[in-house]
Amino acid sequence: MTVRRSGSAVVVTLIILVVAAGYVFPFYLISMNSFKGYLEVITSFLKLPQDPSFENFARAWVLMKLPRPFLNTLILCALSIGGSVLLSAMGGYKLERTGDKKSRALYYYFIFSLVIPFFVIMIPVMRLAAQMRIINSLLGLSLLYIAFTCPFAVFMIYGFTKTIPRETEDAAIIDGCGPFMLFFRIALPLLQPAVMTLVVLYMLWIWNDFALPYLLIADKRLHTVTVAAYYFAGTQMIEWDLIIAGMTLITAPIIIFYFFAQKYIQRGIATSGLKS
Amino acid sequence: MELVSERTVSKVRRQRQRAEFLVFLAFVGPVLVLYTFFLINPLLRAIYYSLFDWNLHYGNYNFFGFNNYLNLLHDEVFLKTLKFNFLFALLTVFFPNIIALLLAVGIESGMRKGKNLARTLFFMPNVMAPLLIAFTWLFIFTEVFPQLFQILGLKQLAGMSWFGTFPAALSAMTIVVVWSGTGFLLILYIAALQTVPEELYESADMDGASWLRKLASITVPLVVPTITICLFVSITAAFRTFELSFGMTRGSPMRSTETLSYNTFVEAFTFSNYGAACAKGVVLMIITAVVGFFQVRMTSKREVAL
Repeated sequence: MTVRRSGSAVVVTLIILVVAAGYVFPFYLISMNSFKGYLEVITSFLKLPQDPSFENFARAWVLMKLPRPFLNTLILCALSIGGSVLLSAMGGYKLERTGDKKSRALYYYFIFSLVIPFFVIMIPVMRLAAQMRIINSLLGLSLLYIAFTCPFAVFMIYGFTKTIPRETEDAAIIDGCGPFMLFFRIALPLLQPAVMTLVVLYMLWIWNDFALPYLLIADKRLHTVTVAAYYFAGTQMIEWDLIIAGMTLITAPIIIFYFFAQKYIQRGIATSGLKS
Repeated sequence: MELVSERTVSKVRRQRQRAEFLVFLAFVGPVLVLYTFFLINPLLRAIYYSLFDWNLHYGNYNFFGFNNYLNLLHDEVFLKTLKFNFLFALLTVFFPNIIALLLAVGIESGMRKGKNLARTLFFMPNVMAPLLIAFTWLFIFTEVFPQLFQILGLKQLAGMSWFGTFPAALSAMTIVVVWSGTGFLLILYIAALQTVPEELYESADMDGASWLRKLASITVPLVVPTITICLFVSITAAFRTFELSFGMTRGSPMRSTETLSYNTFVEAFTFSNYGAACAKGVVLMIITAVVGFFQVRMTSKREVAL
């Protein structure tokens, strides 16, 4: 439905860009006002900072004990995403390629839990974590994340495997390729687009997740970014200049990541239609 | 002679089957074990705990039958929560979907340049942590809007407290979801619009159809499957919402804007009623499962083709 007259194309483009500016405005608000003092924030939020200062950032950095939370979150992401994507890729691929009744039943066993909200299992998860002694452990937390993220990963990999022709694998089997070599040398490279999408979506998920690390990590030295931001904001609730500076610090890395990885994000959402 | 060879054949076959099973186990086993132990196990336990009168503070843990569920029927705050969450779902299904669909049509059909830029900008809020979204909007509602309306000369709006009355707080939460949830739907709608064949519009143009007529007669009918998916996505999102209550309204005024997820959280960690919280969780699960059942059925029909 392409608009033929260029005049109306300009009008539509203008309207959309104005609305888009509205969507970006909150980001402008928190990043721009981070450079101001408290009084300037509450009296003139719109204007560019008169005397830009990095003081809020410096104070927020110290109060949130950065960069430790960044490091913790990155470790958590690496363990969880690495584990989840690798194990789910192996499982989802094998389930699709085996393709018998039992495999299909297992596939449905994996994906039925896609719809279960975290708060349903919150209390049993906390108890289980206490019994397994994985409270205050990034490794333990990553085991939980693997379990919570694998249904969607199995779903994606299973669906993607279906679209890959078997010929290459058949030829490799005839050449005497074992099942593991077959997976790692031939199947996994072919699965790469799905794997990339999963890695990127899970990066956003785990970086931004709050409830699970909030409940399972009490040790301040192990706080993730959102938990650090929560405690920081909770202690400063009136000094907005400081809080928004802290939020800017925590959001900036993931926004930069988004600009580089958005191709995979949008493609992943458009093809799966499911919110992770 | 023949007997022996047959036996050997079946032995070889059995060995091969066993080897294949071991390989299957090596591939599927690890993820299956972790999933079962850390997700299915807690799920079953949640149902089990919901049958107990279990309060962490008082230390009681007695079998309670279905009393936790029966009590929910008389729990005024919970009933308020249910009502609120359905109302919230209704609003956050309606507005973000209408806006996303209109934007998608505008971007796909009306823009020559900047399509990617528009998509990128609209999706940006989805990248922010929900907790920080809640804090950002708390800042906007309490500090920015009063100033903004003052400048615009809207004294009444400038002086209003966004979390002081139920309609205002509900509107505030809806505004945030319009901001944070539209971009996700937009991507789905754009992907759907790209599959509509151009010829249909061309022949409609020849018949002299208006812009609105084309939208109603060609575009909308052809993207109906996606609309269905988007509706389900929005509904489940409404029932999963936690941070918006937790970080922005805190349920105010008077516990009237608690989502089901947040209400479950409060039951567990403010009142230490673990049994009752599990029962609330199970209710939450049933609601999202009914919605999600249809969602997965719709989406799994679509082939994944990246």
